[in-house]
Amino acid sequence: MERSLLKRSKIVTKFISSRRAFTVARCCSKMRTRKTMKNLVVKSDKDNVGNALEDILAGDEVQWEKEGLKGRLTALDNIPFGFKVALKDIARGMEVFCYGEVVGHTSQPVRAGECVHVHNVVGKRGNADNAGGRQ
Amino acid sequence: MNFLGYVRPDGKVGIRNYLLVVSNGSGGGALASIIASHITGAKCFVPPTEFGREANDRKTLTRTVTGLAANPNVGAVLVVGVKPDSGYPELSYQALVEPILDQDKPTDTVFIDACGGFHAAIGEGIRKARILARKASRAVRESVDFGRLSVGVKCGYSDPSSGMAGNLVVGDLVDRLVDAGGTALFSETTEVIGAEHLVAKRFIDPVQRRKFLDAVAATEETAKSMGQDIRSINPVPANIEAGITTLEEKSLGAVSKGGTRPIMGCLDYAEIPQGPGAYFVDSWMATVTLFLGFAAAGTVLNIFQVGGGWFPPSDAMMPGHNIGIVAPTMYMTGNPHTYPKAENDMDFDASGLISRKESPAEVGLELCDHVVALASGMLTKVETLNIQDQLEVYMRGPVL
Repeated sequence: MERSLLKRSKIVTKFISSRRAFTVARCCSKMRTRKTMKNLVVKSDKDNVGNALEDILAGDEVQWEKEGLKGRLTALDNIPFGFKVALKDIARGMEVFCYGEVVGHTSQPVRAGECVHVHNVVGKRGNADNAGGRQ
Repeated sequence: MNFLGYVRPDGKVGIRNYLLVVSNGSGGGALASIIASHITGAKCFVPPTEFGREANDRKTLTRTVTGLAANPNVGAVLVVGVKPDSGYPELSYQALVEPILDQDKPTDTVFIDACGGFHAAIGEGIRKARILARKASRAVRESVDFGRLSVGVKCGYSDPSSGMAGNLVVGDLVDRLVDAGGTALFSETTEVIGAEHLVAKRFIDPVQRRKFLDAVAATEETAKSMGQDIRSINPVPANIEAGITTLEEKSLGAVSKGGTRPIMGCLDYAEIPQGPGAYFVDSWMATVTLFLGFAAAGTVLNIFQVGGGWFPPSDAMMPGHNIGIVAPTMYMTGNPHTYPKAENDMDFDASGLISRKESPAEVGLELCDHVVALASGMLTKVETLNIQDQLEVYMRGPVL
C-alpha cells in the first residue's frame, strides 16, 4: 500500500472505519493526479510551438487545432498563460516557428511538451554575432 | 458611423478643444507654464532645450511645436518666448512662429523683451490667453463621419496576448478607419525587426518602402555597432517575464496592430502626413515620446494596447496619462487577466478573442463604437487625471 495513502487513511481512521478511510484517501489521491485537458493556440500550420491559453501544469494533457490540423501532447513543464510549448521535438540549433515565421533557434535540444523560452531559444536578429536579415 | 467633432477651418476634425500655450524655445518654458496653469482648458508644451543640438534635431523640435499647434484638437494657440527669434535658424520667427500664426485659428504671441520683462509678460500672457480661450470656446461639435478621424496606435508591456488578441483588434479598427477615409499611424521601428518583410510589402510607393527598410536596417545596425546584444535591450524585461522570448516574436505580434491596408508612406517623427491612409512612423517606441510625436503629426486620439502580463495583481497604473498633451490616450488589452487588474486606468477589454473565441472583426466593431464615444466627448480613463507627464521629443543626434 502506498505510504501516503496509508498515512492519510490513518488520520481519517479516527473518524470512520479503516476500510472506508482507505477508499476516501485513494479517491482524493486520484483526483489530484487526474490529467486535465488544457488548450493551446497555434497560429500557423508551420509553427512548432503553441501558446498556452490557460496556465498549464506539468503532466496536463494539452490540445490544439489549427485549420483542421489537430494535436495533443503531455506537458513536461509548467507553462504559464501565454508562454510557449514545443509541439514536437526540436533539435539544438534548429529554427523555431511562430506566426508561420522564424522567431529564433534553439540553444539546446527541446522535447515536445517542454516550455520554450529564453533558457532554450535565442533570437537571430540584431545580435552582434549574427548576420542581419535585411530584405 | 458618425461622431460629434469640431470641424476646423482647414477641414480637419478635432475631438477636443484646447487652448495650447507653447514656447518657441526652452527659454520661454517658465512663462508658458505659469500662463497655462491659470487658464481654464489650457494645455502647455515646452520643447526640450535646443542648445547644443545638431540641425536635424532642432528641426524635429520645431516640427513638434508647430505640429501640436496645428493639431485639430487645438482651438487656439498662444506662442510665448523671450524673443521672437529664439536663436537658431530652425527655431526662428519665420520657421516656428509664423507657421503657427498663419493658421486659420485664433492665435497670439507674448515675448518677454517686448513686454518689458518677465513679470509684465506673465500678466500680458494671462490677459491674451483668456481672450483666446474664450474665442476657442465658440467652436461647437457637429456630426461627422467616422472616417474624419486620425488615430495613432502603439502596443506596450507586450505579452503573448498582444499578438494573439490585442493587436489584431487594433488592426481591425485601423482597417475600418482607413477604409472610411481616415488616417492611422503606427510605429516602433525596433519592434519591426524580424517582421519588416510583412510591413514592407504593404507600401505602395517603392521610394517609401526603401525608406522604411533602410530605417529598420539602420536600427539593427545601431544595435550591433554599440557592441551590445539587442537581446539585452529588447524584448524588455516585462515582455520576457510574461512569455515573449525573442525580438522577432515580439515584432510579429506587434505589426498586426498596423492593419492590412496599403501603407502610404514612412514618416519622420512629428511629420504630418499629406493625405489619409495608413502610415508607418520611424520612431523610438518609448511611451514618453511616441504619442507626443503622433499628436504633432495630427492624431486626435492615441490608442495604447497593452499585454500586461507583467502588471501587479491589482490597481495597475498605466505608464502614461496625458502623453499626447492635446491628444487623449485610450488604453486597451487583449489579455483576459489584465483588464480586471487595471480597470481604473483601462478603457477597453478586447480579451473576448481568447476567452470567448470572438473574432477580431466582432471585437473590432465594439472598439469602433468605443472610439466614437471618446471622439464625441467621453473622457478616457487616464484623461480624468489632471497631470502632465514628463515627455521627451525623439532626437537622434549627439549633444555638443
